[in-house]
Amino acid sequence: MSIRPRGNMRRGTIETLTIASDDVNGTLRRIWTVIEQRGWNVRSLLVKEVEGGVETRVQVSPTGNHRSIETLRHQIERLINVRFVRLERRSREQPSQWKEIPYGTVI
Amino acid sequence: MTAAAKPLLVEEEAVATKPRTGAHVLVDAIAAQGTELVFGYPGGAIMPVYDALPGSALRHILCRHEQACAFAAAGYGRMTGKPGVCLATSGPGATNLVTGIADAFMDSVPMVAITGQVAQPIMGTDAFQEIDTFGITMPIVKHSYIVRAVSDIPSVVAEAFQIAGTGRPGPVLIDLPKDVQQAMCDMPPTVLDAPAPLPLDEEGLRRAEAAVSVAERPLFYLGGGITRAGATEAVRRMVERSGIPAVCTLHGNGVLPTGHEQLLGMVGMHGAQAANHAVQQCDLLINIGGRFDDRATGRLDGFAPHASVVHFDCDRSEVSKLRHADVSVGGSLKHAVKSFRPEAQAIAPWLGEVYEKRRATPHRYDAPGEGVYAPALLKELSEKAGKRFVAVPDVGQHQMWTAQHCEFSRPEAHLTSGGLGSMGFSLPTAIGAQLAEPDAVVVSISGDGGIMMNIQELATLRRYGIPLKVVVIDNARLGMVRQWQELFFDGNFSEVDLSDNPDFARVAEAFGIEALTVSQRSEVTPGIERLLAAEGPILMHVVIDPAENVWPLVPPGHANHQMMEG
Repeated sequence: MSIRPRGNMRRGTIETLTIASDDVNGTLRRIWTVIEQRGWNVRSLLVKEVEGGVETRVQVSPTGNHRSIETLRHQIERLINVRFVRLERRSREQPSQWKEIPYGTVI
Repeated sequence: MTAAAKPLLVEEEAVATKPRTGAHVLVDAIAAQGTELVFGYPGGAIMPVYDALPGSALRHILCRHEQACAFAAAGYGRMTGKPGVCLATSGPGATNLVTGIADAFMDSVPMVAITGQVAQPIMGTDAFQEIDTFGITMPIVKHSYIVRAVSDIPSVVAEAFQIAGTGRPGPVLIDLPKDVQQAMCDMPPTVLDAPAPLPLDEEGLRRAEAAVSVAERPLFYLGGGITRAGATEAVRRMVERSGIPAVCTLHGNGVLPTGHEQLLGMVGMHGAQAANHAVQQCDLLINIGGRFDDRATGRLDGFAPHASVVHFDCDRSEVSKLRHADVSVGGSLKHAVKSFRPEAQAIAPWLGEVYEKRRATPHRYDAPGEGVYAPALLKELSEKAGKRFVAVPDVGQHQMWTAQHCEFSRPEAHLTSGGLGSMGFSLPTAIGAQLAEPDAVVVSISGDGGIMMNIQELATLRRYGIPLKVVVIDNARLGMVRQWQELFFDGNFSEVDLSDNPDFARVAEAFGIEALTVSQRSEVTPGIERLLAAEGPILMHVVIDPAENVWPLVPPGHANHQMMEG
């Protein structure tokens, strides 16, 4: 059985979201669940403590057609312990200081 | 301490200051939210809570399966707009709740589900009846908690009720380890103030009004969010003031009462021809509280092809999720609708077209033969039941016949599993609805497939004497699947024959419930009259033609104007 990425793990559009949330058990799991449930893959995810909460930087790719990153942003933002979600378009000219982590490494 | 040295406290003070178990704190906290009814089933990890229930302010309804507890609680929530409460033990108790919780999530129903959990010291050890309830339910709840400290119970319960019942409603899960239930605490219940309403989206409203003012073929699209927002009356007034015609979704049935002069009918796969025609021809679609579900839209890229879209929704994630909204109106739906002043111009030709289409495509009830024609029976049933009628269909052909042919005076008169489409929904949901509104004429309408999925709840009817009317429409088939196999799988009927069903009337009688069977057209009217006259629970078994189909039908993957007729 091949373990090479296939199908929905193909590299495609990568969008980056920065999510500010309360430091509450289960919030990170809840965010991850929404992303995967709503037709996106988590490609990388980094978490750091900030004053009074947690900041999560997550890179996602769509697994289906016609997935709107704005819709995903709102779907995460409506979670109870999430304060706001900022969408950052990945820019070649100004690459993010957050280095992309290969999917397999995260898993 | 001697008896003479005991502090002199009146009884109320003693109760307030005396440490109690977490289970007692939980029960008091639930009651403090205004809840009177809980639907539950006991088991090992929730036993301290059951120890605290007798003598409390809560009335417990013992269903005969945890799935029924969840459906019944959601039925209460659908009927009242307040969170229904269900209670189950850990492990299988919790997993049995899952379908009901998912159903509530898909249909945005306020509900609080409380599950026992094994004690914290043994969590994660594969203990007896341990399961990760929090994880299993995560994708199907609005929010969830594992309570780690007994002192957190009052605030968690108060938050859970507020989250479940405000904004876009939904289910909230509280997982309560057994040691937390048994720990001692003197915390009083907490009740939270109602959250401040979301600010009015003034700019969106003005843009929406501008869109209406230039539209030649505007159309309202009324969804289930109207009911959840308690905005039915506001929407009725606004629609009537505007003079603009309207269609409704499955969950929007009853927002305008059946027969309303501006209502063209239900849209979608089994919608009215006039409604689907209007959606396909309109140039402005004003969606109020709908989510453009695929059963309503048909093939999305062929849906309302000439229309700009205005979308009212309190949940921003629904706007442009499936259909781009040219104008969105966020915030409280009720306040937004109250402030909306649509002024349509020169729409007389449009009104003439859509109303003529409605006049030319009525439902027909002159089916040949002497057998029972279910659409005609359901129509007659709802007419005879009157304004107190509440239909709770299960899922399948009879669900669509109910939506098409029954008369609904209000949206709460039609409680249906629209999102998840859960067979087994009807009977327990109807129990919750009947207990929420004892004066309503609640009718559980099931197929012969669905009734078997929660038929044990006939025992709940009997136990509490709930005066529910149960109609079982029996075609000895899984009718909707059979219809699709006939139309889309070359008539290859696979595993849809249920001709070995039991005699449902005799089953009901075995549960101690009055029952009758109707198998001829001439028996329909007397049967309905007996059903409606019954003072206690009653089941009417209705035998219909297995070959009957639901019409019209938009085939899957087609646009709404591509309707098939029988």
